[in-house]
Amino acid sequence: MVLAACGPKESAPPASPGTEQQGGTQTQTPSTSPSDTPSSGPKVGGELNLRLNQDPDNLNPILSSSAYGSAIYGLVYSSLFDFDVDWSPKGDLAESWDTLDDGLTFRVKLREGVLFHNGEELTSEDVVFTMKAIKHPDYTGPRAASLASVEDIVAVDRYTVDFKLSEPFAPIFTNINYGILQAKLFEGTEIGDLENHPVTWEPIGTGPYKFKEYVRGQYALLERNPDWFRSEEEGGAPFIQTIRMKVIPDDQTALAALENGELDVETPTPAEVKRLLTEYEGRLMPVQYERNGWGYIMINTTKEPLTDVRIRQALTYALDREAIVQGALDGEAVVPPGPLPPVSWAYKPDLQTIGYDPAKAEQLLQEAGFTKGADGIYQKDGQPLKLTLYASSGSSLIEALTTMARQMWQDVGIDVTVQLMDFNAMNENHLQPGNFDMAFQAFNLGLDPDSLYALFHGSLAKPNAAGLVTSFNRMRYDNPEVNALLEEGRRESDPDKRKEIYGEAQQIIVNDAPVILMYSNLYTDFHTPRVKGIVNFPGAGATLDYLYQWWIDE
Amino acid sequence: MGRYLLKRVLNMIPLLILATLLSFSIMQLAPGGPEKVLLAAEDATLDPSRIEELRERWGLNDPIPVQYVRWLGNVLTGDFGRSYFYRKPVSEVIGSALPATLQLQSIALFLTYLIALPLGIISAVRQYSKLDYAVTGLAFAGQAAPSFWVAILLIWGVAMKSNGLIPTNGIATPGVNFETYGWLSVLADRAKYMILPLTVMVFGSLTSLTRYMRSSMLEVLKEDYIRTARAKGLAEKVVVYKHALRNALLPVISISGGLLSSMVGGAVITETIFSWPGIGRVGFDAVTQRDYNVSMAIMLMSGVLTLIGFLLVDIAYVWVDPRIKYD
Repeated sequence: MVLAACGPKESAPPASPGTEQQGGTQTQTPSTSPSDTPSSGPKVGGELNLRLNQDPDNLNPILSSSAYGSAIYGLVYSSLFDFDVDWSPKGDLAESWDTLDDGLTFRVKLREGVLFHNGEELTSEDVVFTMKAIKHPDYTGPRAASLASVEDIVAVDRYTVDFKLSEPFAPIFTNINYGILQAKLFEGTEIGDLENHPVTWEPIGTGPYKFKEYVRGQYALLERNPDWFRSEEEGGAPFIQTIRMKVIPDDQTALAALENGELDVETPTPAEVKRLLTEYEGRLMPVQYERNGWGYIMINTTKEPLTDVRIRQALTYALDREAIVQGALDGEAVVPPGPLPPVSWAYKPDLQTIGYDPAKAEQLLQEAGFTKGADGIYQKDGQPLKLTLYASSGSSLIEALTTMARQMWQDVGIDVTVQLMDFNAMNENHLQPGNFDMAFQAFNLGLDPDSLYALFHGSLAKPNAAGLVTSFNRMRYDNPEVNALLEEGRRESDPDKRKEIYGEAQQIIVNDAPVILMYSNLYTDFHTPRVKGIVNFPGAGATLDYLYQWWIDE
Repeated sequence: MGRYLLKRVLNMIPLLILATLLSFSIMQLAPGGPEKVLLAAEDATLDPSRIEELRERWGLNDPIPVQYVRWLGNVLTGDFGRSYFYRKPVSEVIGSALPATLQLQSIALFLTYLIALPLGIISAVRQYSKLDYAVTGLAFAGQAAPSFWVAILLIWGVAMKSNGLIPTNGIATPGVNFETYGWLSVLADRAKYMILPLTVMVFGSLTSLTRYMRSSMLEVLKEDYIRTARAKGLAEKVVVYKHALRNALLPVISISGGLLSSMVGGAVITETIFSWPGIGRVGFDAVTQRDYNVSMAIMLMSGVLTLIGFLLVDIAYVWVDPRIKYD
């Protein structure tokens, strides 16, 4: 359930539990955190205290653009799909789905008998209304871009909806996954005037929780929906009677509230994790997970001598990334094997990766025609191999990481200068105009392997009229083979075939080395021991998308 | 006096226009706009046509002077526009936050004066006594300690050790209201949430006021007319509280002109750390979210109150100092 803003995002590291994350689902075999050894099994009741870092902007699933809005409406509304722990789509409101007409029609069959919190039944008209509202020219919310490839939405019958696509688009699940509004409530409301409708602040959905109250700056209150349409198949879920979300803007205050028992779940800043693990052992339960994204060094593939793949590989072989993770991140991260994390269903398990091998790095440099000079730096035609690495200033992590990397490159004979500067200045003056050799940044992936498109598709590598690349493909990486695979991955709807396609793409990207993937952070959510049944969703930890499985043992 | 007041009020108008024009322009010149903040949540690559659409719809593409005049015209009819972020009228956004701030700030202000003035007087009268050193020491500590640090210290050292008696954050216990509880328990509930933020605010603002009061008092006490009063054989109490205090208050009053506006400006840091749902945080968020209309309304409000504050100062002068007459 919940929105699916799974598009790639660039961001600074940590976020809070269940706020940044999207996607969640029912699971056959939920991977609960180790602390949960249910003595008596789930039971109904109790109040859960959660944190909202800020006030929500509004509670309308198609208008809200804040993670704190989605924390609330995500529990009140249902969307068409959920995501399983291997990130494959599952039905939420959708009972089944199919691709017709050479991939140009995506047909969704809805469950029957799904009731809104006001007792009315959800039908295809509601789905059509919600989607058409997003596509309406007067719509002012942030979701229009994701429905751009959907040309029309048609109600075939009471429980069947067709999405007419302009081109086949397999990752459609996340793009049409928004909370479904009740069309009837909006009769007589202009789409441009949607935000003034009372439902924008008093949501009525079909989700596991009913909206009770929101007091600005203080709290939002949700109440268990005993008539939730998935209650039976989920063993009587949801279990927790009331959810209280408290607005606590300050991280230190939130940590105090967690330790004081005023909050049940919180993601502390990474610096606090070790202390909490030891000091609160047995009193606060950790939920550890890998970030679905990475810090990476992008290499400008259009700048000499980096146009030579051997130089890019040599730069990668020269880095002992395990040591960097230990040194710069205190071991609170892993080195990503390839662009997709191992937890994704599309991950290629037999991926040939580039590890730490300084001898191999030097060999590649020599093959590329470089010879080692008297100063230990490789050179070609009298030109020493000197490169510049740009990175944002003000982060001790980045300082440590770039310092260590610089030394490792120096050791194999590559002279790298590190330039730290303001993030926006770096983007505008160096990365977008292509005026750089290497740069460090971070990238968050979505649940679908199509996330790779935004980074690695060659169509996004072309500078615009002003000579700027404003997409994420600032490596200006353009490999026709990869382009074809990424396009095919969008067209192919069979998951097994997609897995093969993306497997191939992952291997080529690793071999071409347009990026050096440095680390994926390990994050830790903490919860009080009275909360049971918390699902550790890969890449999102204790996400609220699984909250319906949680229960409270007093 | 009446003519003077009228002149003062009329003088305020161009000042206000200048101040709002400046803040309006500065807000608009900052990179990014409300449409980008909104769209970036979903579409990281930011489709330029969507940005244009929203800017056009919200009139953000017009030249800044045109937008300013439109804004000013609306304000004159009482319309402060809509919040781009919260998607509702600005008056609603501000109206929901202002009472919480006023409640905290007015009590803090009252307590600050209640404590600072006597402390300043005493430490001036007993200059270089142990008490004076203690007050001076405390004042410097209050000045030196950043409020966020004091606040965190109080949360960990007091609230968390109080066994739930003093909450770490918030403004009220949900459900404790006048309908179901007596006014006494409601009052007690609100008070326990207020203790820590009040402590931080009073401790932080005590300093300057105490120091002002002290130095101003010291200066007055050296004046010839004080010596004359003492020579007349007046009791020391009368000398200090009747003759000296009234004169010593003048500089204190003149620095109090900005207090009204700082009251509605709120205390961003204190409000944030204690999760106090006040206007300080709303204003801060409005700036970061480029919510132009909300930030402009707050700017205007504090501008108006600053001017009113200084007007009140001028009026208070007449009352304190009979030598001053406005004609």
